[in-house]
Amino acid sequence: MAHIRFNDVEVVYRTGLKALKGVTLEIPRGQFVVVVGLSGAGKSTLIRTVNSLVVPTKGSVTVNDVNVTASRGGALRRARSDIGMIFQTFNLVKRSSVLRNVLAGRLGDLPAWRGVLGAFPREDVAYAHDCLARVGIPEKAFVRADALSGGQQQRVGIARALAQKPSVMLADEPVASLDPPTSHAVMSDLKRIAREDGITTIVNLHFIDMARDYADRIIGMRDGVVVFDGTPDEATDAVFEEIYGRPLESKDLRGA
Amino acid sequence: MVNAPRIPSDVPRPPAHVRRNRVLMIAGVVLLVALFVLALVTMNLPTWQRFVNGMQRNFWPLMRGLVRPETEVFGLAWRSMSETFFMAILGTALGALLAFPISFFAAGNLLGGTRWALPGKALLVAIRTFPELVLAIIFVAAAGPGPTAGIMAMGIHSIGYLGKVFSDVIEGIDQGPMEAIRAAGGNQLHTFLYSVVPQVLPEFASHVLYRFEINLRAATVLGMVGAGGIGLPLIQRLQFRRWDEVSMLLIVIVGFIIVVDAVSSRVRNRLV
Repeated sequence: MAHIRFNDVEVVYRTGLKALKGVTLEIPRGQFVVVVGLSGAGKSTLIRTVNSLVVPTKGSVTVNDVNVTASRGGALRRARSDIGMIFQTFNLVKRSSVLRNVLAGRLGDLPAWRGVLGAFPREDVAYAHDCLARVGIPEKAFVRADALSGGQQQRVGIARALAQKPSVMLADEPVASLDPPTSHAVMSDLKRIAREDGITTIVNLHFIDMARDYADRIIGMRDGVVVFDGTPDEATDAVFEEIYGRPLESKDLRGA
Repeated sequence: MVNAPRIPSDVPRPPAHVRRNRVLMIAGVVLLVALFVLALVTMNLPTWQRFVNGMQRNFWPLMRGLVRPETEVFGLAWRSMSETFFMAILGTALGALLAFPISFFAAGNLLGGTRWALPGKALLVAIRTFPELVLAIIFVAAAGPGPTAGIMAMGIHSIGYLGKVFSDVIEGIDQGPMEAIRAAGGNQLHTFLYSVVPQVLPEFASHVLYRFEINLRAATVLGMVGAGGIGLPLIQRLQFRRWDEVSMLLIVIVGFIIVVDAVSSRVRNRLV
């Protein structure tokens, strides 16, 4: 049974830009999917339709057979709390402590008033600490987020998403702002945690070597259309040249 | 032949909007100079002779008084300056508390478009338009002389200023964390409390302190129209040309303001 299902998803932005032109995909539970494509190919739009940060103009996305696209209000918030997301620019509140940033991941599961008052139950605070330990920075809980390095900030981002106890993880270019060694460390953490918890994961990347290293399945996008869908072994250089619509360049590789 | 020098006619003509801006700038400078000259000829400035006569009559008594501050009024000066200080605290607090909610309705990024912020922005402009002194006179007339009138005047005027800078701060925040809270299943209030407030609060506090410094200076003048504080004893002694007592009052005012400014700007530097 598919965990995430895209049914002929189409997104047209108010500017008239057609970002997705009818995408249909099925992603089974626990799969680690990497979406590749040039910027502007529709990768970010695609993963944002999963949690309805971008609402499809046609078609729908279902997660666990729940139609997220049709959900509103409380139903949408419940659906979102099962879907963790990490971002290229981390999207942490830099002036808040690391712990408070991670606790924000618990908001969707708590009664609204607890979040408003900041009255997190003891077990939620303990869980936030556990999440920090799992990404390797338990000692940073009481440090301000802007005092951390880029790699550490992205780990806080992962911990915040983990704190949601999600069954789906979305990652929008999670390593694009990091240097090569840190990129690999962060991707390894992401993959390891996805394996351990059986989290279905969709990661946007534009680095060919990283896509091949970490993906169970690679989906290639070009101009809002899925142009490739296969295993890393099948994603040869020729395939990537087809996806990118040009010869490969050194900047397409992250390196070691 | 390959490196033939470009002939002047090769230089492209600046596009229309560049030429228009140039004309507008020259017109602006000409207008400013004209206004300056107009001000000079209409103002009916005193002649040099009158200026010298005035100085001879008043300058030396003034200087003699100022260098001999009358210590007997120190107690009065200290008490009324303390009143001014507390007026500034209450006035600033009143302004900040009221500006806080209004500022969110004047921030386009929170309301989903600049046009939705227009009513809020218009209200703040309207408040700012009233000079503090005019407000003070109105409140003295309405509520009677005393510090209450001064506090009200300062508070209202501060709303206009603080509401404006608060909403500017809000419009400058990083929207990424808001997206993150929404993605995690937070509601609107959560988004506000967990990504907007922590981003803006330190800068809000800094602006409130700065406004407090301004209000303290303004409060010394407000007393002159009867709105409480050191302004009243000061204007009385100025009118009777008691320069030695004026001197004592000025020393207390200036000393107070220097100390408060120094402390306040230190705190502000640590906040942001």
